[in-house]
Amino acid sequence: MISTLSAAALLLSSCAASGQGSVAAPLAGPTVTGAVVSAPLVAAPLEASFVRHEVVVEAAAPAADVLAVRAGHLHMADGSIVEDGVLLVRDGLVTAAGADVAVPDGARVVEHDGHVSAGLVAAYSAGYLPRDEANENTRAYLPDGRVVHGFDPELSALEDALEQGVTSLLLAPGTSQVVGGRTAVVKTSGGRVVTPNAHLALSMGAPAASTARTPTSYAGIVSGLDARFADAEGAYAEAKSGNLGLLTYVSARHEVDRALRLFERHELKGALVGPTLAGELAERIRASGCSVVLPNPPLVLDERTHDAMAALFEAQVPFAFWLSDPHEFRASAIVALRAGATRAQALASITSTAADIARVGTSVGKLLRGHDADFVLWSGDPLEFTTSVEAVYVRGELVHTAGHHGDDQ
Amino acid sequence: MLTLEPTRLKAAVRACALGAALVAAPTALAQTSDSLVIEAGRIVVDSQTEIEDGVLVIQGGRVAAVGKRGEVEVPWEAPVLGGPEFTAFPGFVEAYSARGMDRANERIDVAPFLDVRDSIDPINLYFQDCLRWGITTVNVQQGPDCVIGGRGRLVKPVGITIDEMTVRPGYGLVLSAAPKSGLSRATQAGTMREAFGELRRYLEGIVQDAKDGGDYARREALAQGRELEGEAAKGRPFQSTASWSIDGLEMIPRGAIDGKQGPLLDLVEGRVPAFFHCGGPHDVHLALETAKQNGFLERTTLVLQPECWKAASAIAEAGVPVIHTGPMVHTETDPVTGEETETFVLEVYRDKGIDFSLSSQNSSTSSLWYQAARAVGHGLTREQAIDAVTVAPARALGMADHLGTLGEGRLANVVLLSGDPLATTTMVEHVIVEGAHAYDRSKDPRNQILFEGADPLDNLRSDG
Amino acid sequence: MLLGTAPIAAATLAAFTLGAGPATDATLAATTVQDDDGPRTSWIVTADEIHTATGRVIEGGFVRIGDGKITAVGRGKIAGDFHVAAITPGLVECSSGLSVGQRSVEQDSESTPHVSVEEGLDLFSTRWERELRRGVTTACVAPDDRNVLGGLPVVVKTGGGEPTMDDRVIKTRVGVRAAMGSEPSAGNSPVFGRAFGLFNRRPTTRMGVEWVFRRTFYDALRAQQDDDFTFEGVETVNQVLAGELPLFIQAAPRQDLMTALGLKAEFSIPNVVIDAAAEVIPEADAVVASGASLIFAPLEFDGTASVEGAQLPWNAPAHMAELGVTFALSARSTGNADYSLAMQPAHAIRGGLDPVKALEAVTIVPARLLGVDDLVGSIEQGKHADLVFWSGAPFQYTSSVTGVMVGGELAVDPRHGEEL
Repeated sequence: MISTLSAAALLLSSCAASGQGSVAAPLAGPTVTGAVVSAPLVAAPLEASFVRHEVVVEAAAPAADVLAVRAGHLHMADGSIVEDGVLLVRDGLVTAAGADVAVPDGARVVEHDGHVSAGLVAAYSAGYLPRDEANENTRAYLPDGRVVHGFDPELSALEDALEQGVTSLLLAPGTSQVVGGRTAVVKTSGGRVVTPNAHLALSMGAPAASTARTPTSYAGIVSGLDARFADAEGAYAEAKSGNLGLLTYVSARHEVDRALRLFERHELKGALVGPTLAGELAERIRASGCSVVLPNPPLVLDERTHDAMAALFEAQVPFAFWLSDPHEFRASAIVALRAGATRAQALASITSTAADIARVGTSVGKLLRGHDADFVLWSGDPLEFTTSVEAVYVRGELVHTAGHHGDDQ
Repeated sequence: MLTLEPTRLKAAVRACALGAALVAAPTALAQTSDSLVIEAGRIVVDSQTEIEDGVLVIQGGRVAAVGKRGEVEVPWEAPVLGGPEFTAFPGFVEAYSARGMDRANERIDVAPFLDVRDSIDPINLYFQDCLRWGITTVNVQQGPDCVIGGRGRLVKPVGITIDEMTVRPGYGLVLSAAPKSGLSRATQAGTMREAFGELRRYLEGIVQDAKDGGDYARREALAQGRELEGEAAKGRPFQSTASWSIDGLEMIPRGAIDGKQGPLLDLVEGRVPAFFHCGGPHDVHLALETAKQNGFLERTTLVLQPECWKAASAIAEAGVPVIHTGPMVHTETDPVTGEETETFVLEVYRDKGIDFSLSSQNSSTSSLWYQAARAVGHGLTREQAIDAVTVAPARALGMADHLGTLGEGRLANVVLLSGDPLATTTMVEHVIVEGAHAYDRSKDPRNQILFEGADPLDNLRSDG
Repeated sequence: MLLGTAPIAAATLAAFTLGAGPATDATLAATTVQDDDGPRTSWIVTADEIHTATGRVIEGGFVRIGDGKITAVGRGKIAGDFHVAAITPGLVECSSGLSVGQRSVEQDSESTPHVSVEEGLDLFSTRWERELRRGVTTACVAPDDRNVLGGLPVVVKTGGGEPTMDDRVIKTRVGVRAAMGSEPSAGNSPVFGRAFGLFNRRPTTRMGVEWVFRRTFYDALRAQQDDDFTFEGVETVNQVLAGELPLFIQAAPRQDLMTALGLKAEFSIPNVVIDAAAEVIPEADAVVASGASLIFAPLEFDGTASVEGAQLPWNAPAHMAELGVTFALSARSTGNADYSLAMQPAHAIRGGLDPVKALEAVTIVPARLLGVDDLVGSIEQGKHADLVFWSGAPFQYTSSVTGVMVGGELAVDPRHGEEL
């Protein structure tokens, strides 16, 4: 088994190194199942061109090949922590997780004294596309732009993120387009696209009112969006019906207010990305059904930002953090904890809630049967600054160990 | 009513040379007699004393007598100015101004050898505005953008030469604790200390040279063309409350002291008042420390920006008077919430017992009577407000015996107002400076433009 | 220290004292408690002088406020919650400029008369609090003058309730905003000879500004005749032509004023308000003949307006008052406390304006020009409880604003001078 895994690992790294060509995907049962599970239910089928990025773990081993992880502390999907828990992985998916889980004979066992949690998920990221891919400056409305076309699995930033425990992240168009296109969720290792069509990305922030092109004003942004959502077609119709998510960049409070009023007019809801002081409008955001993706807060919060975050938590608004510098990503959740979030809320903001906001909550972000086996072995409690990553698994494969990459343990 | 007829000005002259014509007129109409009598429905002698239906007798440019009509002997031959509809008020005293010069600041950090006599421009619109607003004495000093500046001068806003305008020459030296533009706080403080350090080294040097039998100081002076006669030839021992001293300074003729170091020595020996600028509370501490260590704290007046109210305790303890510049309500924005808090600065000074003057050198070019009225609006009493623009600046300028009130013996600087000095609709109708009638509003062309909508280009139109 | 009007006889006062009983009605003092949570909005305030802006000054009177509205104003000695020297209505700023800046105006075209500035508001900005602190309770926000025809201003309360559109915006489609002068042409460059971009277009001069204006109005006239021809905003322009919407034109220097009045005459626009009015005296006859109303630029000590450097002598408001021209004073929400809206009447009074007219010029007259005089602008029963409390006679240099109430909420408490 070890040799097979090494071979698979080699295969993985050689594919990653070449960045080209597809690996012939045997359409045996588990792989197909995997593919179906990881794609959200969308009207538009997965286009064939994406197979190029799909590096499928060679399921050459027999079906009885199971990985069992014995964890000193296992972080469950519901937010609880199980002491001496067991996680079972087969064919890249979680088959069981919890306290009383039997390890089948012949399973490969990994013992880990510390904590094991789901791989971290970023519900928004900046800097994980090649430089020019995130800004389409020629047109303000590009509903069918797909940012996944700009995805480059070779980007070193992805490796940096992986090393900090981030296994999935959302790619979004830049904030200078009113309608930037469709966001995508990708894995940080192996180039897998979890979904090429997560949300329709909007921007109602200052960069979207540009003097380089129309609209140049907030009124222009609003009237453009009102017109498109009123007689909604295509992506707008999909967003309205809920088939496609909605992700809106806003920063100042009046921009949040403007977005909420627009949503109300068209019965929309989605994720609001970027408003640091969103908490000052917590009740209204809660009532609207929207979630919030916050920029990385500073380690020491000033009173105002602290109070705003606390209000958001109290109002039970689903929140996540955006990923730019991967070292700050997990720290954001710790800062949230210190600002009054519960442990469950804090860890969920970089795992399960983030996955839900990114519309991939049925396949990543949780250690739950049927989800992708993306998990991290931590040296300690992931909500402590002193903790570090010891190993990262994506789809059940060890893809990173602290100190080296891709080696077997 | 006005019985003194000013020379009629030609329309063309009026249009082309408003300032010069206006300022020239009073000296052209030097009075025929040495006396002048002013009648007013009310005379505000000072903030505590008002006389109804009063009379003011001026002789030789000073107030000879003031009192109720009928109770004061009036020279029968003197011209009479004023009437029952006027209120007489002491000319306002501008305790500090860097205006009226071609440029307020020099580029040189330490330049005590400069003097504002070289930059004052007598026909600058500023002096005309002073008369319009009733300011009769101005302390013109270099601006605050320096480390140590030059010497200033007390002037009156009438005259077409600087000598005609001068009330007291070579008066005051400017220092700034607020960093000169481009300098950091540390460099500012360092340069300041270095200037006094250099003075010390220079004095020690020439004294040592004299002790060694040399004659450096005298030879340098002569080479620079300075005469060493009379007082200048005598030496005097060093006399200062500074924390340092120079032994043997009496060996050096005073006139031989270098032109740059001389004014600084005067400062250290307490011969010259210091006007010390502070932008904020930290500057106040530097200023007080510098003044104390170098022996001129007794003669220091602080010139403060609004934020300095935070150092009020230190100022009160040092017992120095202050001149407030800038808005009288200090607004601070909380960096986190953006909320603004306002502090009425003058109230803080008053409550700490600090002697403060107002100044009209602020961004809205509004004048002293306006500052006084607004101060009342914000909470000062009428007396405190009037004092802050009359006797307090007079005191700060060491001219308490000559300016700030209409008492006997004072210089005859009188403003005739159309109503209560602090009322909104009151106008300055006439201004008398040292007994000479210097301003008449009904003849003021700029007033007509500002207040009556006259077209500034009227005289240049073809039908004139 | 009255503003010049004599106190009125008790008999007529009785008729004027709306809703209140006899002067010493003790029951008035009792009911100032309210039920719901949130800031208090029911009060009784007494004062030595109440300047109602209805033409009467009440000496020794009271104002009763219930749930944010004025329920009674009258004369008499009663026990109130607190006493102040003088009360005026909350000030109404006709031309505030408190928008989000360049993003308040849609510059895809120089002529966007149909675009409302509602989406160009930032109700969270701390500038609203500063205006409120200085006595302004109602303000009109217009699109920035980067377009010739910028769009539709809105009227906003500066405080009270929450900073939401529902709580603060009291009127939309107040009129149409236009600008003469150099601002609309600034930033444009000639169409020919350079790379193409959004701002390669007319106008680049005042001539061009007038051209854009006239083109828009000619197009509207054409659209009235020709069913096949239309453009975005045609309904709005037609409403202006019909006098249903006032046209606010910024025109400070003399030549811009003449252009504006000329355009008014050319298109027979019934309802025109000249904003940032400054050089009106030289063209007084034309102003009177046109029937236009004015909003003055802020009066400043050096006699110039901050708009286009136009001359603004201090007697301009007084002169216009003598000629019977309707005008409001404005401060454009300047940061300089000496030129705020609470100080403008004092400057105008100094320039010779009658104090009663000065009060009206910052209260009921702007309210009328903005079409919100049914809600604000005077101390009358049923209107919003927007009040300014003074330390002495209002609009004197020796008086200050000590308190401000908006919608019945005490934003600045005259009792301690602190914000609640």
